[in-house]
Amino acid sequence: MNDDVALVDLLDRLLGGGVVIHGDITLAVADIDLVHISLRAVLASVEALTCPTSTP
Amino acid sequence: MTLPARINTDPEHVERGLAGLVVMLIDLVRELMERQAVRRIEGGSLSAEEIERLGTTFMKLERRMEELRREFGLDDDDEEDLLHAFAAGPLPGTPAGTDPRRPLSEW
Amino acid sequence: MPYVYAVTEPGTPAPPGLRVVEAAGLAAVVGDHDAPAPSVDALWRHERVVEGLMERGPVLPMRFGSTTHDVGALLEERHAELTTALERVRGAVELGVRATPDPEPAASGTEYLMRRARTERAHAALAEFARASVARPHAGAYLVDRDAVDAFRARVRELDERLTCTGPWPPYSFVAA
Repeated sequence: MNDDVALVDLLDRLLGGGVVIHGDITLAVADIDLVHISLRAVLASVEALTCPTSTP
Repeated sequence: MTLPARINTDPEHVERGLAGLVVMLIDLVRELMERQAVRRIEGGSLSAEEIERLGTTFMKLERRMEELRREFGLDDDDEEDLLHAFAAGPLPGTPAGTDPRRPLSEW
Repeated sequence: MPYVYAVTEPGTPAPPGLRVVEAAGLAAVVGDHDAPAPSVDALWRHERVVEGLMERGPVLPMRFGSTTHDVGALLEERHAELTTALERVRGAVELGVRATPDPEPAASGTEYLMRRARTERAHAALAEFARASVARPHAGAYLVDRDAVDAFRARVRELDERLTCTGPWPPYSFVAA
């Protein structure tokens, strides 16, 4: 690993990437887990829904 | 900005965790739109005036997003704050009631 | 609750102080300790374990802080997805590319989009040298064959001296389809 690694590189991967056990994001209120969100499913849906307009 | 693995809202900061999610989604849509605008430019299907208008709108949106981040305290570059923002609340799988911040002798 | 560092192939030797759980044709590298608080040091300790495993074969890094009651069940329930992912990353590493932000904001809408266009073109050019790639607003991640890493780095330098290439990382960004 080279010297140019910034904190954001580490955080992006270790806290934002990797295999997750309980779903990408857990939404909790007052320490009670309520909803697991698979972010990849959300992102894929947004990508799929945003059909590019055609270019002539 | 990447999201924490767990967003634990409490009465003091209800909007903050969820605001991070919303900001991220807006950023994602903004990125998709900008990418599409770039493709249109490279395809030659936009006039100079349209390009300028699109670009200015995106710039305004970017500035508005920065304002939103500041309002919700999501713009911190401080190392400790970034870490806390990324990993708000007990980590996934930690049994409720245990303090995840106690040091480990094995380390 | 066991702390999971990574999923690897069966036959992976356990790193010092840790153990390996094998099930469903896979292996998980596990520590018998709770998830540490996410300090920079703790993140790097997790990262070093995973990097050590990367030396020996394909590895799927777990997100920091991953714990589960039943490691075997995790492997069994998700063995199809994990096996596919392991093959996807075999023989490759992740490289990250970040652009130094422009010191001045764009002077016009057109300049703003021209800057974006340049970033897009750089990403597309680099993606050609990778098995897979992910573009995020602030950085790109590339799954690159091990023996193509030096050539990739050279390509980054050629494209734009303001680009920073980090890695090799374990393939955090390529564990999902």
